[in-house]
Amino acid sequence: MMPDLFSGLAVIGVFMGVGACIDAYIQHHEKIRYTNPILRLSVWMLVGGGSVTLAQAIMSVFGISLLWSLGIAAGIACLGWWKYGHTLFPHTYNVGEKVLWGMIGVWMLLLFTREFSRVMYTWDSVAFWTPKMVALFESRAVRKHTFEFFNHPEYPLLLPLSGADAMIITTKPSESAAKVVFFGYILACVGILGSFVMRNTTWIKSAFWIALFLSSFIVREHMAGEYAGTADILVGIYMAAGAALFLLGQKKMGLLVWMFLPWIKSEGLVFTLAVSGFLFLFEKSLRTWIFVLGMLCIGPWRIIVKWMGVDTSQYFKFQEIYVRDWVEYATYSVHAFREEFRNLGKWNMIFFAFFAQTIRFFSSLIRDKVLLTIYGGMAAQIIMYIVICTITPEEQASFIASAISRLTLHLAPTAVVVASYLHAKKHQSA
Amino acid sequence: MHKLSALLPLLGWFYLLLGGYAALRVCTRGKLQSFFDVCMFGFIVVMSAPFIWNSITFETAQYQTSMKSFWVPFEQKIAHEAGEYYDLYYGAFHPHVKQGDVVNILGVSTREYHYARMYMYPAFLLQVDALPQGEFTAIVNKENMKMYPHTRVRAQYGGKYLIDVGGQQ
Repeated sequence: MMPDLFSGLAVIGVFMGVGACIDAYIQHHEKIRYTNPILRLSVWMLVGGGSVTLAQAIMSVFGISLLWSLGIAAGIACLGWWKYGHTLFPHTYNVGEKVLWGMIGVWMLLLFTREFSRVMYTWDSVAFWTPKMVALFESRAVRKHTFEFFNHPEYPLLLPLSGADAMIITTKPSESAAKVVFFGYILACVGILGSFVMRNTTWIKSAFWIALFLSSFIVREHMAGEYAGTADILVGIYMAAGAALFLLGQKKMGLLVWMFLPWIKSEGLVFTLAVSGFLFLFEKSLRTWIFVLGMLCIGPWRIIVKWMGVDTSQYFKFQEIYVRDWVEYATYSVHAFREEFRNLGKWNMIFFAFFAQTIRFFSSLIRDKVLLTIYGGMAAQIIMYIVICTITPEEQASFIASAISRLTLHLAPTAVVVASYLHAKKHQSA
Repeated sequence: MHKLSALLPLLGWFYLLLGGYAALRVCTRGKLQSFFDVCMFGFIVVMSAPFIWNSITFETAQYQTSMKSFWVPFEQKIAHEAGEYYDLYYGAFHPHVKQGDVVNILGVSTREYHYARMYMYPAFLLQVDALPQGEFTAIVNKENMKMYPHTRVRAQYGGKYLIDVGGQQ
């Protein structure tokens, strides 16, 4: 079992090292310095994971095998650790923060033992994600025909490539090794969320917000339980991380994190396009960045999918919306989400807290461009889900029953970020 | 009125309370408004607490069970969760297929098919209701083997065979 652990940790180390280089570059441009090591390491993981896997896919098309591209990334990562690793250390935590991080650490250890002790189980993982990992591990490349045998060949590759990298190191299609890397993303999410709430509010209130997030049944199941190994939690993680970074003032880094959403799952494209549109209107200084990062992060996979010639509309038939009595279908979908948000067994009070804080600060949040952008992205996302639930070729109720929790999971982490931010005294006085 | 009363169960305490809170926020000012804000946050904390506690007890209870298989090698974990698929399709059959092979498979569940398709990559696994005529490659069990006496067995594991049928039956 040690090789699985080691290979997963090695991939996390590579992602973080590359992320460190990108972070240093962006911090230089933002003229902003954050020294909180847990926040920095978490950002490194998310940014590194997105960049390395995207670069691997592009290099692979040009004939560079995944093993070689991972080796190149490892070289850059060594440089990143050597050059920027020491910048993590000057920061000190107060006693409350130390206690809270200790408790979070124990909690994450519990979740990891559950995650690592089992293999992938759920349908989405067995049918879509793990086969792509194994195909990438076997072929060591993204080729024109690599995914043609599998369901949803057009699904993007952040998760499959992250898992395949660990499998390549361990030299067998070990889901256990892949799961270690996935848990790295989970740790990054909790690291960013924890750092974000602790910066905005007292440690006791921070403890509540983190506990609220980690106690949600669906969140725990995607982190450590039955649904571990599917991409939905990653959509939620990147969405929330981008929102937290934006609210911390790290706009370029937040934008970059959001740009990776379409690289995780196709549904993420809606959020990315919506927030990019809002930011294009509100933030003149980001316009060039939006264009460049959009081209770098979204463009390549779209081109590769075209090149592979796979049918990207194999499932949803958008013309269905004109055929069906869409008002009734859409109403049913709206009610499904209404019901889902109040399902405390699944979500605890996450959405209640989010709605309550939204009501409380409604007048101030409509004047806050960053919050408006985040709310706009979330609204666009949920409208898209309602459209998806309306045009599904399956029987609508069955589709909603099987999909609504994972779709809502995309929004839940961001809901916690926004609710905790609004509740913090800092915002009241702003 | 009856339409309004029909709306109540749809909204439930969740949305009614949020609606009431919104109304109170509009109608009150100053200390009274702050009082309602504190009450609302207190309500959220109190309502969350049992779920947080349940999560803690659940994950703590899982710990001992998880540790039983934590250090177990991957091959044993997957054998425990997914049966013999890894040993059968990856361990036994995968080394005997190559890119371009089309392997017919019948009589397996959808779940087994997904595992087989994954572990037999880069061969293409075709799930069929009946084996085709002529030349083909297939995964069959012992009973089916009797129907194809003149076959080349590429690999065998347990009661399953990876065979090439040469056209004669």
